Amino acid sequence: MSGENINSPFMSLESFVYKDPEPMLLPQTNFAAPFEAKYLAEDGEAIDPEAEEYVVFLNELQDDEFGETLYELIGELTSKFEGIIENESVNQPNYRGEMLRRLEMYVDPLIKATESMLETMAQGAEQTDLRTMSDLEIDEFIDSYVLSEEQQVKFENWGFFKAIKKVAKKAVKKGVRLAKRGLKVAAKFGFGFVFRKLKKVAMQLMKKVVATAINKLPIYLRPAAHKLRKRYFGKEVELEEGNDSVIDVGQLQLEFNIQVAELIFADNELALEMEEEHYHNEESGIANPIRELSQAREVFIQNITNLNDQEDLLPHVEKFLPAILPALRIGIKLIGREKTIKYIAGYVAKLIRRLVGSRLSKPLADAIVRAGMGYFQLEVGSEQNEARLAGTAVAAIVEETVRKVADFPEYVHEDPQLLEGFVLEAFEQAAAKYLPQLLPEEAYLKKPRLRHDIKYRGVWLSRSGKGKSIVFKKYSKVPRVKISPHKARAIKTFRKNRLNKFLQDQLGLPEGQTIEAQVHLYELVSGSMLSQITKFEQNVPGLGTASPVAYDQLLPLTKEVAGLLLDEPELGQDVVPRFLASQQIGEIGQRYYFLEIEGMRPRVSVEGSKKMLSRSSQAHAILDFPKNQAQISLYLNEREAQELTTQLRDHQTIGAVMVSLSELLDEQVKSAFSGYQLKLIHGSVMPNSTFTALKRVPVKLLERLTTNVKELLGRGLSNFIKKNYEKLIQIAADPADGLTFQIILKDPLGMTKIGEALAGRITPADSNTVDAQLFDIQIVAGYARN
Amino acid sequence: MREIEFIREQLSRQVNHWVLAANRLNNPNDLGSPDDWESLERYLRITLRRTLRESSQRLIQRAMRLQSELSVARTATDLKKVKKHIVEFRRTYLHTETTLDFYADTIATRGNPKIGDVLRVLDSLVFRSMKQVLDRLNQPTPNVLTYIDKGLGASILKAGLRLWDGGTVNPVAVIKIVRHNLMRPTSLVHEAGHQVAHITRWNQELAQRLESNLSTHPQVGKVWASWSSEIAADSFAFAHMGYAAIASLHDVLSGDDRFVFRFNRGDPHPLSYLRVLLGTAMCRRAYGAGPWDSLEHVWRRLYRLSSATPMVHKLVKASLPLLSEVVETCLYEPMASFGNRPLVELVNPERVSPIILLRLESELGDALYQSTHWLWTEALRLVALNGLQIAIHPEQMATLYSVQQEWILKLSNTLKAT
Repeated sequence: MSGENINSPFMSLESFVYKDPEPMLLPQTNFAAPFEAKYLAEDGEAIDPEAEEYVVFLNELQDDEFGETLYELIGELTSKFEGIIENESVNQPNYRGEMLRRLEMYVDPLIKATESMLETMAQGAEQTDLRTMSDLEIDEFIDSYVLSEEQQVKFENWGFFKAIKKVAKKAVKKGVRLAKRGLKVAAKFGFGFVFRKLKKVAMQLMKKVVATAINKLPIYLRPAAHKLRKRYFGKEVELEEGNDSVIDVGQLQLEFNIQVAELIFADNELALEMEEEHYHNEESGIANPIRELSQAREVFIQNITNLNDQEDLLPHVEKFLPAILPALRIGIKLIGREKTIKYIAGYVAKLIRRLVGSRLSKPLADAIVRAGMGYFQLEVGSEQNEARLAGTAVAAIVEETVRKVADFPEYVHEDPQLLEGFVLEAFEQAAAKYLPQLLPEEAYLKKPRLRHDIKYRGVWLSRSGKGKSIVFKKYSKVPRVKISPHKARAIKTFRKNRLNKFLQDQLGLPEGQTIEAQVHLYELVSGSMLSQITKFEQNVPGLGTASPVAYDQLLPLTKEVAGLLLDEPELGQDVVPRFLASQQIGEIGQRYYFLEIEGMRPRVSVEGSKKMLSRSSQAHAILDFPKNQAQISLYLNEREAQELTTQLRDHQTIGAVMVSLSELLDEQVKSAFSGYQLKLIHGSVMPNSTFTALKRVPVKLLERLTTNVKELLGRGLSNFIKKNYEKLIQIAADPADGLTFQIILKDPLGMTKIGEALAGRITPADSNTVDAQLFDIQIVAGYARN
Repeated sequence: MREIEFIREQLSRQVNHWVLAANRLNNPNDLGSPDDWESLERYLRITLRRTLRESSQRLIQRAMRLQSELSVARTATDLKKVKKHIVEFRRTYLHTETTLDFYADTIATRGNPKIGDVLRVLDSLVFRSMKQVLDRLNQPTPNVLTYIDKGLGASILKAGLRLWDGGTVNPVAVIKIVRHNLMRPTSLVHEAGHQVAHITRWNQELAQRLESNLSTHPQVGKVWASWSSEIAADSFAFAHMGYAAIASLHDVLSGDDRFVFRFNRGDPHPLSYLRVLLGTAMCRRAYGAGPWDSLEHVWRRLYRLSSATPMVHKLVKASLPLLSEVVETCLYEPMASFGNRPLVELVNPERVSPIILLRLESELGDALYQSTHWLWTEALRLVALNGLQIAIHPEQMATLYSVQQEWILKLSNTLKAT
């Protein structure tokens, strides 16, 4: 090795051979066809093999932990941003530019460290031939870059840095494989080029993260992604269903991943530059609809609060309405349809007339205060604030009505008579939500939907941050409930997990005890994050911070849950399954609850500098169609891992041990295969669209695969535990929380058929495929995914 | 007329001064640095801040009333009344300040982050020791704020007591741990026993029972009854900590002869000599023979009864045969305060017997100190185990202290986030 390499930050590896830092142009040879077609598309056409490899790589890049990191970073920046606007006028010129500058300054240590890491890697790659390295050596090459102590103290949350490092590993490994076949940019320009491009893309992602923290835009799959899908699939591919998500970090990550995949798969530098340009420019066109909506709402509230009885309300509604639509994805279809908007504005103005004005605001505000008596006492207190309450409620009704109207089918918008009926219905539903029960009891008896609950009679109140923008909505009453063990078992939380497990594993409450809790109810609004809710709630014991320890205690309040927990189903809100996957993605209008339990202290796990609520036991599955195998990671949290090893130490029979494991296995595998923790590596499936893709699979096929996997796991795990008793006990003593079984099943029953169904070729459910072979089981300390 | 204006001017200055002074007490960050506040569990922080705010708000309101009173005062008599109210206000201000300062001082002991980390775990340990009993009696468990200070023994300011300002009810159990015992915190559980006995009214019931169960010696029975509050706390600590509590108590009480045989009528603390022997009697009753026998033997040898005054000598002689009856009464007799259950049914000392504790350690091995699950669920028993090992292997004390510190800091790291 040359003396010049002595100061290299990388470890000395055998395959590191000094090369002149010349661009590595490989001789073009005739390679055998590098891609292999495996699937047929819906129309019977063969899927482009390169497209398949590309999509498979995208799937490899898609990483839930990266999503969590982005979510936390956005949350952190949001807190920082809110801290800044406390002291700044939001109306100052170049407000957004100034905010961007300050937030970028805040993340500067993170940016600099990431840039420096990728630049050093680029330099390292110019001096060594990465193409000759094995995967392990590539890992070592990249892992050898560590943060200095000096860098570490400058910032707290290094998740982004670590995530980019992980992406770099995957990208280089893929690039090496392609380069070995003489393909793509890496082969032509070398890995120094790849690292520098990756640096550029990572910095663009960071810019988007900062912009998201300020804008809180619902993130849509941007045109770049659409274009790519067209290029590789020759047509549009279905997106995940559901209404507007608030912040969907999965999509933000997907966009970034597409850039990384483009970098690795681009044929020439020009094509790459064009993509980058596109990715970069998307940001500059983004307006700030959430902030504009906040400002328009504020003006609307002030105007209607001071309105006198003779004054016309219509101009105020007409001014407010256009600000609501851009903040909604579904609202986009109404933008530009002036006539329809005018009509809706006119009708809505008529409907709210009886609620506004200087004379009417006061009685309405009094009623709202009465409905929220006690809880909101501290925040009301002055006449001005009380008057605002009425105005805010009316604004919320208008927004909710417009949101529902925007979602009406096309034929409703086209027919004024139909539209009137539907608008009235939407208005009544919104009014039931935001107004106290002011009507005589007979009216509610005649039309029960005019109120959403009988038991508590609260209202949903908007809670505003310092910049007057609405952070979330909270139900004015905090019901006190008793939760028996049976009830807790029946209530489902995220990913179909049961509440009793949450109480036991995350809140550390003893099993089998009836608990008494005060239930705080929340609703997401456009641009809000759960971490903002928890940060805002300074007086609720257990909340008051943006940490995952707090926001992971917010659980989804569907109608079913609201029925079981509160006896009032209408206090819940149903959403499509993907919004029940985790706290990191939610729909506008989605509801959550927090259990305030006297004396309860949540269980916390510490992983490096990251503190979070202890994980629940869970399974993650990857159906890897090109390899025709299923990979399952079965994580046992610390409690269950210790209980398992206690049973083993007590020399209990394997039967007794497996009985304890079987319920967990059954529930978690079922949950994973229903789409919550399932990754489909398949040429026809875009990452982050598992739920939509699974719709193409006949239910019976999926059930068969799930049953097959459960049986195989049961059989395989019992054998494994019998043989590895000592190792299990040893791993359970590791300081990392819990342990993970990593299982590979080769050719599980029904998988081929599912692959065909995903490609759009529905096959009958019968199959004569042979039973799968249990390929491999490994066990690792702590939480791991394949 | 001019005279009145002069008086008003003088009073006005004072009133304004006190209004501003009262407002200054309203900022929690003036009482403790943000870092000190951060070192508390969030639950505790919210409870404390709320109480302190209420206390200072009451004072501010009173100051505002004083201001309005002065503004409408027209006559000399009115002003005289204002003057009287200013004097009263000053007194209230000082009481409120004492109340707030007390909390400020306790929170400030967390200024050292490492001490703060340990105290956070101690808060949690004490809380759990009480919760185990109070949950079953459907009583809420108060939050706990421990602080470190000089001295020989721990002490408690019980939650629920009215404080110096006359208006504030202490929202949390504030417990002092002495510096030398920071890594040997069994005495905190004794203090928790005081809080539990206060909430369940066990002290009164135990006093009555002791008096009636020791009726063969009415005079002696009366004396033991007068010690009921301390005996209750000792029993509670024994049930949770086993022999560790007794060994630790022994070390604190091992003063000179005068101290060990000192008897003050009205002092709720039992005669030290008898207190240690009561502890060893509890161990013998619960676990049979063990290291406590040797402790008792040495105790009796080192502190000869001949050093005691005749009156104390007589009291001890009469009490020794009654110790087993006292143990039965405290640990095994059903009490109305406990829902007609004996203490051992709520906190079973068998769980902290030396055999069980040592088996716990040998069976779980490293996992006992590494697994967050065990640290969380067995924290109290870990203190009992460590205390037991300190008692039987004093030569390993330094190592045992560092083992204790290590797991406490590990647990503290997880509590920090709550």
